[in-house]
Amino acid sequence: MGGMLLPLGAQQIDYNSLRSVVRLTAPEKVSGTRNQTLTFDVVASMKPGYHVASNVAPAYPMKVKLLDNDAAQLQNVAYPTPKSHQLAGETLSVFDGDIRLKVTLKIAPNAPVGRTILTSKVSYQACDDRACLRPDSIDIKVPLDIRN
Amino acid sequence: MFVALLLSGCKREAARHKEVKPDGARKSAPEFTLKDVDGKPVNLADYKGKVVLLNFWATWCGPCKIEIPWFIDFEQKYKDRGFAVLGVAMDDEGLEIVKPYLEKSKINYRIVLGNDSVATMYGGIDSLPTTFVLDKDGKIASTHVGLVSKSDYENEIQQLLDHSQRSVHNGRDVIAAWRAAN
Repeated sequence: MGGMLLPLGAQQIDYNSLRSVVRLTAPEKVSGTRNQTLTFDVVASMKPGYHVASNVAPAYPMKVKLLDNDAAQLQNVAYPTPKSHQLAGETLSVFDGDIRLKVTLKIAPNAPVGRTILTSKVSYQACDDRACLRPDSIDIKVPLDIRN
Repeated sequence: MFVALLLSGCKREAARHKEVKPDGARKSAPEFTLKDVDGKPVNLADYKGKVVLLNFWATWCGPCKIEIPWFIDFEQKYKDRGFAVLGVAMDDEGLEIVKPYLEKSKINYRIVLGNDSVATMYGGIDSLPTTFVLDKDGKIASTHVGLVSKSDYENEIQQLLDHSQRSVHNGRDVIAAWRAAN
């Protein structure tokens, strides 16, 4: 039991629709046993000059969701402390630069042994000081190897 | 030498503000009918005969909110010269979020609720704000993606209003000359 902080692998996913302002880096794979709780990091890198609405922003907050699967349930996502950004007389709660999202999963007690591909959706909305891009999301696939 | 200096000065002055597209290069703005915040339908076609600043924006867009006071000012200053601002709010929540925002912000121009279909008609609207300045014939004289300066917008509006007035005066001159000849 307990969490396992895994080193980051080389898996990088670029923003795949409008413009490449957010890039995600996730482990090449994670592994564990049934009933185990795992924690791994997803690093979100924002292009210089851009920020995204933080997880506590009132509109289009950054969110990580685990898509339905038989192997694991999302327990928690720990976000970093947001920054305050002043624009148009308002204070915005944002992330910029490189941020680490700590994703905690619990492997199901009856999860199938072997490899399952977990798909997480990271949704966000990015702006610079001149323009805001449409809200968007990136799917990241992380292989989960379950041992007996 | 003096003439060269004078001409280079004129070129610098013109380069400071972007010129609107020449008449022949302008395409018609796609027509649409959208509802305003009171549920009334608004047709873009009804704005023909006016210079229109068509602004795609959203309440969650910080840079959009920088421009709003400028547009309030333009509406006030130029509405009697045949100009109007038309805002297209792209908030997914629609009326629920836009109406309270309008009440708070004292926007004095018409706001309609946008949708994906209108966004597609206008090339996708990938960023906000995206603003089109339309001439009195409903043609797109300029396009701006992202924030630009107030003076850039004002310069374009004035170019189009002045051109409209010159066309009217030219027309009157032609009629006067014909009458004199006949």
